[in-house]
Amino acid sequence: MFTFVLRRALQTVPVVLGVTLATFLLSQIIPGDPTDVLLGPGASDEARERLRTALGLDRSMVVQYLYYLGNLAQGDFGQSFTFARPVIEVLADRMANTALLAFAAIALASAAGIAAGTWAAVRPGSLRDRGLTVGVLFLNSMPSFWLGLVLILIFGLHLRLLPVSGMSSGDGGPLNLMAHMLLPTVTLAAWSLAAIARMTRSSLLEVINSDYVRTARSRGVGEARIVLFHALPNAMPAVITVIGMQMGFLLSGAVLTETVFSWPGIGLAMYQAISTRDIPLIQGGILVLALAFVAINFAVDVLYAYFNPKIKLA
Amino acid sequence: MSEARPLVRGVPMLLSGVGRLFANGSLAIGLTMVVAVVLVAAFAPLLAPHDPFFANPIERYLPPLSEGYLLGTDELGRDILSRLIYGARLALLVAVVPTVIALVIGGAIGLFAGYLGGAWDSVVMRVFDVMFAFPGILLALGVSAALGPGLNSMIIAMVVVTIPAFGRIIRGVVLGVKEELYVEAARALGYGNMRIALRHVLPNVLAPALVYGTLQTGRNVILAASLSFLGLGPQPPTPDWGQMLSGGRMALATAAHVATIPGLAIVFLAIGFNLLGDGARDLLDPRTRRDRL
Repeated sequence: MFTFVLRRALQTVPVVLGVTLATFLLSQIIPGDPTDVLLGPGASDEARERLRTALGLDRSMVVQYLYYLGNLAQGDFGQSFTFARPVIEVLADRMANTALLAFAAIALASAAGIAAGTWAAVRPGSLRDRGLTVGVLFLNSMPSFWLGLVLILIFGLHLRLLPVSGMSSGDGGPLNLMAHMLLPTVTLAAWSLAAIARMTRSSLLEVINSDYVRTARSRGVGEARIVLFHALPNAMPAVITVIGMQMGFLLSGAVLTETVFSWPGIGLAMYQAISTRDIPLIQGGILVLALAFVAINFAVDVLYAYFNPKIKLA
Repeated sequence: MSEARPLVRGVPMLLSGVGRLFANGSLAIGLTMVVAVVLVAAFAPLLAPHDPFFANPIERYLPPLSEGYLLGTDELGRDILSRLIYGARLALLVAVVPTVIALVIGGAIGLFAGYLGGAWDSVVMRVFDVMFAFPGILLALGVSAALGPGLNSMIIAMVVVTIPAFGRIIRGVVLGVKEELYVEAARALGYGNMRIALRHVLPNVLAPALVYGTLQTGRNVILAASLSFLGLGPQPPTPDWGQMLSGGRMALATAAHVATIPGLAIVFLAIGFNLLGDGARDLLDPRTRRDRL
């Protein structure tokens, strides 16, 4: 197990370096001369040269990338001019809010997705099974921000049941926070819920025709017990993989959901940075979310190997 | 017989008769929905009752079914129906064009990586691994923001993020196809790598490429709308569904139709492409017909 974890950890090193290279390249594809932006078009050639030397822009791209890596290692993600603070501080303040929303959404999507997929799989071809097919198609074809707006319209503006913006109001408190979380969580979870339900259904259908399920049935084991204790555990590995992949979609989907609900996370900060062309903040946000995704994939693989001994032999 | 002919399957089968096409429900419905949007886009000038750019501040936020404005007017008093009809052109463009470009580039990379194997293959796959480490729309957002908002940057960004998926899928198919007997036969006849790759392997890769291309087009409808909603797409006053939606956000309480109607159009087109892709997959790969949704 230890060697597996170590080997898997070493595999992430080139990916992490590649991710930093990609975010570095983002700053290289910005059109125009960076000194124009910083000094204005009227600046003298000497001033431009001095700034280039000061920023290291006169060096080769390789050296610039190494500088970038060195800065990242020291926690220097650059300066955000939208927030007039270092990028790392902006991100650190908001990381927890984004994580809270993402974990709430994955919990909801997993629970509801597995339940819906199981519910449909026990009666293949039935009305409820077809209903799930149609539901999955709709959720997969719906932009999350549109779903968010519709939920705001119904539950916030018409029924006036739930708050539609921010994280707290009035005195705050846990109940208040949960009320604020409900709509963004549902919005963020919708897409993943569909993917998890679909995977649960198809992998459950595969195992439900296997010999051990038939054996259990012939022994007179109840149908509910067969599905929950015989079939479902064996359908889980594929579902866990999908859940791990969905975490990535949730982290990135947070940009849209946080924007719609003004949820003060990394995604909302990135949205604000778009209109001001605050590239350092966008770079930093992408980097942090991508690294979080790499870390989650690593954790999922380790968990997967822990629960499925066959992997370790491979 | 002067050369080994690849076994014909896939694309010709897809085209083998309208009867079979419509025996498959989702394919027929999806095709109808997509063709409907294509027709609306093609005949936009004939169908649109008003000039999609004409702003009339006196008639702002008219509700649907108002006189002369079937779907009402937006925040500048422009006719929503006309903007929706003209927006269909852009919606199709940003869904189809990035798919085709990414399919050609990613497909070529996957074809040669899979066919040649070895060091080339490893390098390409490692680069793809890194690109897959960026979740969802993040990389597209970064590329689009760095290049500066606009239609061209958005298309470039969408191409960049979809190349790896196509590359990996095509590579996988090629790895299977290159072990087939007819490829071995072609090699035994002394044909060069380039000729085998293009004339014997490529035709057998087209069918899965077509299926995944269609499914990706459905995803691109959503991706483009998302980028556009974040302000990274075509800039005002271009009639664009994603942007119409974000423009209507501010008046959700008083004029909900301004944001909700373009959303329905996006959902309609995405469902059309998704059904078309699902149907095409079932048709070309009967194994998935029953055990998948």
